[in-house]
Amino acid sequence: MSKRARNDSEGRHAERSLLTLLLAVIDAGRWLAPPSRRREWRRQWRADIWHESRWLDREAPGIGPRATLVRRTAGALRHAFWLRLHVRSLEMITHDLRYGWRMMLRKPGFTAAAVLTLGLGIGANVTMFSWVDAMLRRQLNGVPGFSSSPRLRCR
Amino acid sequence: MRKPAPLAFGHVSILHAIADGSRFGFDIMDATGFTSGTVYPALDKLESLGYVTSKWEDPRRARRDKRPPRRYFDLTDAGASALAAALTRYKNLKPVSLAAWRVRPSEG
Repeated sequence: MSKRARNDSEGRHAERSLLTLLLAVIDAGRWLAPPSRRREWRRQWRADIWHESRWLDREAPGIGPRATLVRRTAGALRHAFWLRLHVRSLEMITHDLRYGWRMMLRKPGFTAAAVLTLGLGIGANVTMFSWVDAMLRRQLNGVPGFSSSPRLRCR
Repeated sequence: MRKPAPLAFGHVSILHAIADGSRFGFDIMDATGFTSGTVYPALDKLESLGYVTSKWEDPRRARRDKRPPRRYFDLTDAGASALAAALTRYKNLKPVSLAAWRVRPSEG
């Protein structure tokens, strides 16, 4: 095998090793992405890295473009973190709601007691403040000088 | 209805690159000079705002060419309007003298 052919073969081998390594980084990093976006994130990054690597094979020899590809692959992890921070909030709300609903169904006695307590508490408060409003505050509206009294005026 | 907030310069650059023919992440990075950690989240953000739409390539075609299918981005009508508004906003910036800051021509 001539020296040039051997160099080409070694170059292709290094290229394939780099691609394998970068795809392995994406496979490992997919756990950083939120579950709802994980599959798409991995698919998109694997495809973009694969195409870029092939393009570099054909068009851009040298170490510089490969270093750029490695840097860009590292950005995939930042993208996954970003998704985790921005997609997580909505997922967490739906997760909490689903969990709460399951717990309510699993313990109906506790659910009934909680609903009854809340209902009685809200009902008692509404009744009490309605009575105070009707019997005291509205009746005072007829008293002369009430609205201008500095001691009773609402600020 | 509330008027949408003006887009940040990075988002405008990405919309501009897509309008100029860049269709996928690495292409947009080459066109804008931004890092991947900026471009990909920005694309997701622009898609959630309705300024960009994405489409996966037909997997049968990709399989025939023995390569993975790519995700392509395109501008929506709302994205094109937002880009036009932003470009008008930048065009309306008055030129200012930077002599006091001793800006070298290569930086200016």
